[in-house]
Amino acid sequence: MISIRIIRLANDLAQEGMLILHAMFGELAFITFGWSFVELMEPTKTRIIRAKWATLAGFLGTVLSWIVGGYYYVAVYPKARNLIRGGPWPWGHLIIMEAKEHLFLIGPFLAALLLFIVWWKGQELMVDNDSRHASLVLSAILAIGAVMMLLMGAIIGISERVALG
Amino acid sequence: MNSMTSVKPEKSYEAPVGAATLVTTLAVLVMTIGAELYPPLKAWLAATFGHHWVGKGVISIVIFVVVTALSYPILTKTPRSMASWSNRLFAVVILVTAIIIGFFMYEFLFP
Repeated sequence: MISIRIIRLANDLAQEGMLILHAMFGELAFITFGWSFVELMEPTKTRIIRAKWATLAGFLGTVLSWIVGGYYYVAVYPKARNLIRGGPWPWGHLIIMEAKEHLFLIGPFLAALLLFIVWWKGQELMVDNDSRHASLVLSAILAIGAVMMLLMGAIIGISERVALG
Repeated sequence: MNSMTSVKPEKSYEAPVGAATLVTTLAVLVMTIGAELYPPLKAWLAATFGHHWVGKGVISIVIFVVVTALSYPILTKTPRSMASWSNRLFAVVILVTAIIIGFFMYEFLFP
């Protein structure tokens, strides 16, 4: 029956699609925080305007990745967790996922701080080296953190796959 | 905004948000390790918020907002160096990351 297939497809997308969205928002965060870092290295009026939008996109990416990933983690992941824990790579959950789910909680607050500094200071970032330094440090932490989350997510995915045999 | 003449702000409005980020980062560490070492805390988080991880997230948001509001009147009085402060935050984030990964590695290797 075509209707049942459509319902199954929608159900699959609603569950596993969440994981894709989680990763996509994380990738958005990585790109935009890396972008804001580059823009703020030698800031001009135009570069600061671009950095503002980059930090806003990065903040939204981080928060949306948190919400979508959180839904997936609570509602869908438990099945995979049991599979991974019983598989050949149990550390995929016991070390990597446990660390990832908790370290992720820091990201949105760092992103909020970067957003606040860049939007609040605005054009002053051209002359206020202290705030520019802080923005660069935060952009770097967030870009590196996003890559780390993506890498950890990939390891968790592989842990599930090897558990399936 | 006159950017060329306003090198230093009169007040550090970003300082309370920075302090809140620092305290929230440390709170995440305490909640993470605390819930693993003290099961009643994990059980309380799960019972109160539906899931221990959701509870940690909600408490983190509350801490962030409360610390920002409470530190606002104190930390905005004088200009502060955001450069040295952000270096400290960077060090704390690295340390918290190392402790959390190290803790779960230890738990796995020495159950």
